[in-house]
Amino acid sequence: MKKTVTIIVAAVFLLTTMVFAPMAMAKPFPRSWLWNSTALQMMDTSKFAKKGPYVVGFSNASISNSWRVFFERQVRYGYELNKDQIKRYYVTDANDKPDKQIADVEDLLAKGVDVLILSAATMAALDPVARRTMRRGIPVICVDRRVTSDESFVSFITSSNVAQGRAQMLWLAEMLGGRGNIVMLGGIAGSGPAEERRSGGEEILSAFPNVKVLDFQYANWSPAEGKRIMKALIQTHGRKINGIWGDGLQTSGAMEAMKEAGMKVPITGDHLNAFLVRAQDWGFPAMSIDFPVSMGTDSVEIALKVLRGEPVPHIYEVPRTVVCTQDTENIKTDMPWSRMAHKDWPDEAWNNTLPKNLLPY
Amino acid sequence: MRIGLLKRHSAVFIVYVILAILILTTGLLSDVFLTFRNLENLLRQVAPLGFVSVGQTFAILTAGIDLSIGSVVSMTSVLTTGMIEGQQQLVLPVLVLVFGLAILIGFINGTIISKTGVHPLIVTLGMMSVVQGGILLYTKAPTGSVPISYDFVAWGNVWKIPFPILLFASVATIAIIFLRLTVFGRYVYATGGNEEVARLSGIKTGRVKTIVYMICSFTAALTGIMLASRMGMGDPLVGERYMLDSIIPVLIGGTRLTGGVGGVAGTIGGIFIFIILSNALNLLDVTAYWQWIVEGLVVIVSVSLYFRQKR
Repeated sequence: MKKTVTIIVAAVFLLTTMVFAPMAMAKPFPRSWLWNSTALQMMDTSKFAKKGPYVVGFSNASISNSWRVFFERQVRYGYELNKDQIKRYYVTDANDKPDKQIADVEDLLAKGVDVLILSAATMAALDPVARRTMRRGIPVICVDRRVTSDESFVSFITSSNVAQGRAQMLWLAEMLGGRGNIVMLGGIAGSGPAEERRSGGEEILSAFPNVKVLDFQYANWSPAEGKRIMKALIQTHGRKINGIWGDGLQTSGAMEAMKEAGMKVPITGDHLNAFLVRAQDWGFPAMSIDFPVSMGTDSVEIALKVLRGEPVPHIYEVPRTVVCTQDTENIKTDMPWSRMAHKDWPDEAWNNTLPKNLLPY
Repeated sequence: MRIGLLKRHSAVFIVYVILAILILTTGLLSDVFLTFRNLENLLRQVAPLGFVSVGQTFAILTAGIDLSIGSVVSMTSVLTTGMIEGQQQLVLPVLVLVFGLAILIGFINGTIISKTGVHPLIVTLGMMSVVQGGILLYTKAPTGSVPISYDFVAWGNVWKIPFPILLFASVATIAIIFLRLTVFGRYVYATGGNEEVARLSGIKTGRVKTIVYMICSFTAALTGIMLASRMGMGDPLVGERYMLDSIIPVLIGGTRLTGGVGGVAGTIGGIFIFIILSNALNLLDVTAYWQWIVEGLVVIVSVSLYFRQKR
């Protein structure tokens, strides 16, 4: 009897382990891959394989807004997690100046980095120096922002900006029932993510001829500028504004301007805590999709894979979450809004995977 | 005689002593600093800032200043790549055109300053706005491309020496000779030292100023085409930093904002201090926030030293 019970218990344990272990080990799968129409292109990295421990260099475009501050910490977290494989980690900040970033990359190469992680201030400007780095046999891993040519990097860790712009506009158009006037608030004029998100949004608009854009303004991903510009737009268009499309930090400021004007319309943004908490507290119909800061940590993991000679995707799409205060026909929330809005976090915080000692606040 | 010479050039002497200390200290603290690869990097990084600072030295020597220098850098960078668009046969005509346009801007600056008597700060600030607005009408985003052969300007070597530093050395040498050994050079110092006296002595100070601002714009164009090669494209905002950055090496180098005192030799020292400092902070893994603090302090200290000298 005792033996039978032992066998049954062991069998149940084994079965449970077999069923649940893969689930526990599974990482969130990036949904955006499902929408990608091209086959996944894996890169052979055997020519970059070398013995560790390694010297890792990270050339950052800037830490000029809270997203970039959290993102830089996430790259550092990647280093902290892999200290056994990384003997030195260097980081430079180009202050959004492409010519300074070229000098930064040269400085990192002089320091003998084995791999270069690059978040480019401008796609085209950093392309020649990235290409030269690759020619020297040092792999380049782009993250957040890429360089122009495919041969100038091994892998690009990102999330589709076009998809982000589309999802935000689709939710807004459906919230308006396909009819109404909207204003669009973009990021920084000329920057890759801002232009791609704008074009994604405009693609969706072509399917909704009765949704009219009253105005488009760049608000430099700044809550303060978002508020200032929105105030001016309210002065010009008043209650004709039925919805606000925004792709980033600026919409938390725009929401403030709307509240002060006594207006409440559907608004889109991303996972800046100020946006999430205020939309909840003030009862704005809102939708948020993140451009995850955690891609910084992913970039270090990919860099190490390359140095070990393991194949990696040329374009590595990171998982992202969508939250809505109200679902529409095609855009559904992944979780309740309140789970993403953290009242105990500061306004400038982003959804992140950082340990306490690395949080910038 | 020797002591007199040393006294006369004390500012330049101090600059080079500071430079030597900076090189020695960084060399001791970083095992990478004095490697061939890093020195080569440094020499390539010197040229873009070097050209504009040499030009700015001329303007400051006449007690003026050129704030339009940054927008001229952006303009030449954007027009060069935007018009060449990777076509080899267009390189020469486009370069002639952008140099011509830059010199025209300098001519307009200088003419307005000398004819109206309005302070150069106001005139060149206005010109900066006009040129920057024009660039943004042309393009709001990075644009254009250059043929592979054009890479040589920023990335080429001549006998293992980076081409940009050879070009900068030539420009700086010509500038020193121009200021120290020609009549025009003496006129520049005289105009900056006391414009009224210079004018009464028969110097056509208006003409001197006009030529000085043309030189300034010419050097800005050199920086613009160098950056176009370095980045392989033109950026409408790339010149922004040079408005302030071009002034700092001039002040560090001992040229006085009131004009008439200083020279290109000191500016060269200032440029190397500025570039080596930035390189050293990166090599020593100093965080971005501290880099901003250190660079800000360098500006404050250099300007304070200038005011102390003035008293």
